[in-house]
Amino acid sequence: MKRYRYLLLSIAILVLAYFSIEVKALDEVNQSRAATFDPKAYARDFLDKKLAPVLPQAIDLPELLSKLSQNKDETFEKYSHAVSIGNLRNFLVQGEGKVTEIQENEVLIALNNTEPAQVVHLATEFIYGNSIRDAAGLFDIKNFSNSNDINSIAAEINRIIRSEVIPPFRKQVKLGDRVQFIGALELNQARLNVRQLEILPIQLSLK
Amino acid sequence: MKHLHFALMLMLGLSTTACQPKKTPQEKKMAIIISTLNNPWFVFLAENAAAKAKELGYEAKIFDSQNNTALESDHFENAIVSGFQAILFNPTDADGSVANVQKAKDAGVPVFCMDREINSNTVAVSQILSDSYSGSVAVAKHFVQQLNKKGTYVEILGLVGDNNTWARSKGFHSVVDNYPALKMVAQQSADFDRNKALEVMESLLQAQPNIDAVFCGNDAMAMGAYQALAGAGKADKVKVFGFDGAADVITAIKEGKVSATGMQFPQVMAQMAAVFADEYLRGKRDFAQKIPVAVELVTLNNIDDYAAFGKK
Repeated sequence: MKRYRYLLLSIAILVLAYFSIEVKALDEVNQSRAATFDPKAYARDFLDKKLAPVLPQAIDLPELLSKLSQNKDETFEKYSHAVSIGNLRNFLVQGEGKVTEIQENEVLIALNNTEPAQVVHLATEFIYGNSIRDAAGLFDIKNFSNSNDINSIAAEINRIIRSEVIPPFRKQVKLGDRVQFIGALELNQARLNVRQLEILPIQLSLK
Repeated sequence: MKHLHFALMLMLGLSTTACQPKKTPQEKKMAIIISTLNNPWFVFLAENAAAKAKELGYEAKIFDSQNNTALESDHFENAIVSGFQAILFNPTDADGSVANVQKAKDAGVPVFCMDREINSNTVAVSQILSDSYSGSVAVAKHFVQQLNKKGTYVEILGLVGDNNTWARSKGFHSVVDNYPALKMVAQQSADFDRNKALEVMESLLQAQPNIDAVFCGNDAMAMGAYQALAGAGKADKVKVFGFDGAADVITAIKEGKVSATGMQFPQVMAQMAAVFADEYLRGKRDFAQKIPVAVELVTLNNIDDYAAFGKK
């Protein structure tokens, strides 16, 4: 009788142990925390309904460079935006120029109305980060309490640009073409370097 | 009998008073509870928070949780009972630390998280956090460029229960996973610890001797990984990427031993937490729940612009 009791007890302990332990892969632990927020829908809506109407208001890049050389801090204060606190700030800029070089990951453009011509790097591969999301100052972090959502929106906006804006441009662009662009420019306010400007495109057109 | 009643009431009263947090107007003190002081980065965070609290007129005491949520819980109880008016907090575990913050909130002691997040938006007054995801996106972009979009690599993760671990990993993979010729052959945790990373890397090198790079969730682990690679004679072949902006990694980048790191600004976070706590105690209540602090990419190209912990 005692033997049966021990057997039953052992089975009960094993069953309890089995159901109380769950083995998961490390990244599954993180994925399971994901909320139901739809970043794809939000990003699409943000680009089409919020960002698109203000694109024509982007500051002319040569004008921005001139203002930065005259009064850096005031220009940052007036034209730059960022969700994060710190030195990295983003500008919504537009410009026009001539294609001087086509590389694997970017297209180099000699900017109009700059003397000597300022070369800007139009990114066509590495379109990542918060720059496009933040450049116009339309993204309000107070509407979000989940960091994953905030990051997913930027990632999704960049994915849309990489898949919809870049391929047709890369297909057509040739040396010597004239390009009109509207895009996002990230600059470090404390360590300002305007020698190598990288623009993440939002809208591109060839003339 | 009446005397007995009076004595009992008196004892009860005294014992109840003894259990109450001591709050006298002349006592102004902030507790700084830190996940671990076994890492110079967190020592810097703690010391800056304490310095700012003192500058604002508070007595400041630093508590080391030694990456142990139970010890952290003891520190919270101690801080509440000892009458600290605010807690500047660097959590050990995004989930496990929530109960501790709740305990403080219930006792009327405001908590301000620094650098590490907790998985609740209602218990801490504000969470001032490094933008780990975006910082890792910048490191990952450099990683892809350095490896020319191809090769094999391993990832060494931080503490599995810390949101920064996953924010960094997710930010990194949000870029790197777009390049199918870049293959992750192993992913393992070393708890943000240099010695553990050394052991993990030694073990990984046994199974994966021909990797091209290693991405580490913090600089302490990057240094541990580098040490293992140097010991195996592979330091020149394998690129090491870290995150934090710690002193030894800044030197290692200058010497070409480490390829890049994400520079965090612990001083900004620590000082902001102390200022917020002071403002709260003066009556302000309107604080954003999450405040990201930008992380900057540091490589050999811009190393002269930076010093350890973003001090330059």
